[in-house]
Amino acid sequence: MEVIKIVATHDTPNIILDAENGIFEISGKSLPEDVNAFYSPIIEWLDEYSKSPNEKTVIDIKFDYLNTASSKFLFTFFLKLEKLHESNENVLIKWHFADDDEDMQDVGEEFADVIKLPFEHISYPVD
Amino acid sequence: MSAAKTEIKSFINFIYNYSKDIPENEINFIYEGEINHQTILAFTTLIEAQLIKNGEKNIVKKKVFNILIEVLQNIYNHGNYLNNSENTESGKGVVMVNNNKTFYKITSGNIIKNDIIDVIKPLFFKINTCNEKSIRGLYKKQLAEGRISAKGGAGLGFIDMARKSGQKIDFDFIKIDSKLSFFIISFKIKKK
Repeated sequence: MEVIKIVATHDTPNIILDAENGIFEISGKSLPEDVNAFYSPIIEWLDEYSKSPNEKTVIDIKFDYLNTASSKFLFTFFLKLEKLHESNENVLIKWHFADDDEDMQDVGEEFADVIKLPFEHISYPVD
Repeated sequence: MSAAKTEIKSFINFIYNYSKDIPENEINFIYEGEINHQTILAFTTLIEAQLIKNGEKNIVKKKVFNILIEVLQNIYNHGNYLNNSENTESGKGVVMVNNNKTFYKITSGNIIKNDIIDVIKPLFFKINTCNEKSIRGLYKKQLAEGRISAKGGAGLGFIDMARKSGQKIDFDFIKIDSKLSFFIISFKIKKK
């Protein structure tokens, strides 16, 4: 299984998708110029991964900023995970947000309300 | 050129008037012209630096930053040109950020096709009838539309901006001709 490692830039997040080591992380700012071009490899990777997933899939998501176009991508991403969860009941989303960022907390709660996936909401202290 | 077109030929002057509804304000930033991805990044960096300098709380900084990016990306994606509404690599519009003791205010203006007004105007009225709880419901409903169709979730950005602002949105459409109008929208963010 291909490992995806994308280093964060000022407008795109850090992404690690490493099935062998069970590390799935997306973190940082997301306001890419072309959301589809940036995220389509991620969707393709997930389609491939879903064919033979790990026993457990825990995804850590820690956005500092997320534009609307990226939220729509994330929704698509979660829908695919929802399908995976339907078959193996073993997907967990860990939604991390800064403890003073009520907006990012809301975004996580709203996703949890509309997506049939278990969410864990975790606040982290800001410096 | 129609009378209306002449009247709002200088969009920057026109938008400037929108600064006056918050008294004793100072303008952080005002711009008219092309907007592309690079200018978006430059403007948001500029505003971020000002917010830090003004000692604003993190949540205020994030709200201003979020809404500013969203309005700029809207112009980038949808802002038409008066003479050239064909495919361009950038959008054209006007943006202003101003603030006083109580608020930050972000105002944007761009030319849109008249047929879009029928779609977005009812949404704005709907948003403005919402309270804090019902706007979250509206956001979730719109987000879930993405389940049904690929085009679903239209207007999500406006709902999100209104929700982050926590204030009623001000908007206006000034007719230019039978095809085009100048669209103005502004969001206030309360300094806590």
